[in-house]
Amino acid sequence: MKDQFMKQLAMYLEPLNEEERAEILSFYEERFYTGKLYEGKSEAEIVAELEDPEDIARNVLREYGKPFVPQSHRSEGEGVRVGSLIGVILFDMFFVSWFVPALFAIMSGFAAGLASLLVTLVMVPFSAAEGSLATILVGLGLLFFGALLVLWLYDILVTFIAWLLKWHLEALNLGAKDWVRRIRNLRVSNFLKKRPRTNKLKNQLKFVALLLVIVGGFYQIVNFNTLRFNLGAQELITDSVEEPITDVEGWDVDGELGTGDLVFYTHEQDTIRIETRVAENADMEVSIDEATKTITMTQDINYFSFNIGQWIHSFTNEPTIDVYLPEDLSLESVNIDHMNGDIVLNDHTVGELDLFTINGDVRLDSIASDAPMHLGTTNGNVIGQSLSSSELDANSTNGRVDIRNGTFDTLDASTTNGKIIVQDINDASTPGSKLETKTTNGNIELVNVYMDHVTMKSTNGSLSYDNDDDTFIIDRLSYTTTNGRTDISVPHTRD
Amino acid sequence: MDAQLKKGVLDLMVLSVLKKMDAYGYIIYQRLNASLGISESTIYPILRRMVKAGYMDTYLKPSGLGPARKYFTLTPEGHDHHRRLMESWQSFENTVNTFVKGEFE
Repeated sequence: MKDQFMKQLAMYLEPLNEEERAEILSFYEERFYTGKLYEGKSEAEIVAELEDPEDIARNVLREYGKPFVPQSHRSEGEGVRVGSLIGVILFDMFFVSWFVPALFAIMSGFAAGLASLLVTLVMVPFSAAEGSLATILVGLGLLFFGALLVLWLYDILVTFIAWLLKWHLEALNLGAKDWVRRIRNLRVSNFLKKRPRTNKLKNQLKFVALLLVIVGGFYQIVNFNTLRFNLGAQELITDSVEEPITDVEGWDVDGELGTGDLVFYTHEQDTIRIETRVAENADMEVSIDEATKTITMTQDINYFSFNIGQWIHSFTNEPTIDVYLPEDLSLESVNIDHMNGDIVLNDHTVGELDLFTINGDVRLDSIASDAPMHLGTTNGNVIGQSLSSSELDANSTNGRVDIRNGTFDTLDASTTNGKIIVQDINDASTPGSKLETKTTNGNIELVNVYMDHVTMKSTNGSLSYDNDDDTFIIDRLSYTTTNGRTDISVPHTRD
Repeated sequence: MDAQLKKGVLDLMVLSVLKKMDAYGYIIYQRLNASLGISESTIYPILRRMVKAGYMDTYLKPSGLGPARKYFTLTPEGHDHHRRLMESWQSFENTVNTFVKGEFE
C-alpha cells in the first residue's frame, strides 16, 4: 500500500528537482511511520486518510508554480515508448498525410469559389433596375456566411495541427512546449475572444447578414412577378436578324453578353442569321456588317447572381442566342465575353479564339485553328472535341475540363474543383511539345496523349496516364498528388 | 478567498504554531487542520518555502520508536516576520470589523 502510494507520488512530482521532491516525499515517509508506530494504524488506514497522490502532487506543484502533468499523458519509464512511436508514424502515414492537405484544399477551394461569387456580385449593375439592390444585399449576406464558414474551417485546421504537434512531442517525450500552445492562439475564434469589440461587431454583422438574406429574399419572392421583368427573368422575346453575304472569308465575331446560351450552327444558305430569344431588358443588339466582316452581339450586362426568383426561372425558361453561319464561312476571330450561359461552337475554321463565360459550359467540336485558343469558365465545364490548334488554354474553377481527339503543340488544362480528362491527343509520330494539367480537388486522366513534356498536378485527386503506343517515351514527365493514387503506365523519364 | 491573502494568513498560522513550540510537519498540519480544515499537501510546500526564506530552521530529533523526525523551529527572522504579519493582520482585522459593525462613513 505504502510503496505504491510513494511510487505514484514520486512519479507525479517529477517536475520538481531532486531536492524538492525528496523533501516532500520525506514528509509522507514520516507520516506513515508516525501513524503506524504512534497511532497504531495500518498502512491502508493511513493511505485512506491521505489525499490521492494525484491531488497531493497537484497542490504541491501549484505551490512551486510548476505545471501538473496527468498520468495518461506520460510514457512509462524513461525514454520513448516504442509502441506510441509506431502509433505516431502510422497515424502520420495513413491519416495526417492526406487529412491536412485535404482540409486545406477544401478551405482554399471554398475561398476561391467565394471569391468568384464576389466577382459575379460586383458585376451586378448597381443602377440597372429595381430589385437589383435586393439582389446585391442578399448576395452580400450569403457571402458573409460563406466567409464565416471558411474561417471556421481554418480554425479546425489550426486546432488539429496544434493537437498533432502536441501529441508528437509527447510521444517523442520532448515535453510540452510553449510554442505549441501559441499555435492555438492563431485561431480566429481566439483572436475574437481577445477582442470583444471585434467579436461583437462580427455578431452584429451576422445578424445583419441574416436579416439581409431574409428580407431581401422575401422581397424577391414577393415581388417575383415584377422583378423578373427587371432582372432578366422576364418573358422572352424572340427576334431574328438575317443578312445575305457574298464574302465568306475572314469574319470576326465579337460578343459581350449577359444571359442566354450562345450556340453557333452552320446552315446551307448564303446568309448569316441570328435568332435571339432573350429578355426584353437584356437590350440585345445584333449587327452583321459585311463591309467590315464583323458580327457584333451585345447585351446590357445584367443580373444573375443572388436573385432567388431568377434561379427558379432559369431552370424553366432558358434564353438562347442562336447564330447560323454558312458552311464555308471562315472566322478570323471569335471573341466572346459571357456571363450566364453556355458557349457552343462546332465545325469551323477559326483564327483566334477567346471564349469566356462565368456560369456555363464552353463546348467546342471540330474546330481547327491556326492561332491560340483560350477557353474559360468559372462555374461550368470546358469540353473540347476534335480541336486542333498550336496552343490551347482550357480553364475552369468549379467544373470539369475534358479535351478529346485533338492536335495541339501545347495544351494547358486547369481547374480547381473538377476533373481533368485529356484523351487521344496527337500521334506518337508527331507529338506535341508540352501538356500541363492542374487541379486541386479532382482526378486527372490522360489516355493516348503524345507530348514530349507532361505535367500532372493534383492535391486530392488521383492521377492516371496510359498510352496505347508503348514505344513513345515521354521525355519529361512530372506528376504529383498528395492524397490520390497514381497509376502511370507510360514509358517516361521522370522529371 | 483571494490567493495572496490566503497565502499570507496561512503563513501567519504556521508561524503562530511554531511560536508556541517546535514541531514536526504532521503536528503542524494537525493543528491547522483542526481549526481550518486545510489539506495536508498545501502545508508541506509552505514549510519548505519558509525554511528557504530563512524564517525557520530544522533539526532532527530522535523519536524513540522510529527514525529521527525533522523538527521546525523559528529563527529570529521568523519571529520578526511573524510580528510583521501579525501587525498587518490586526490592522486588516480592524478595518474589516469597523466595516461589518457599520462604523464607517
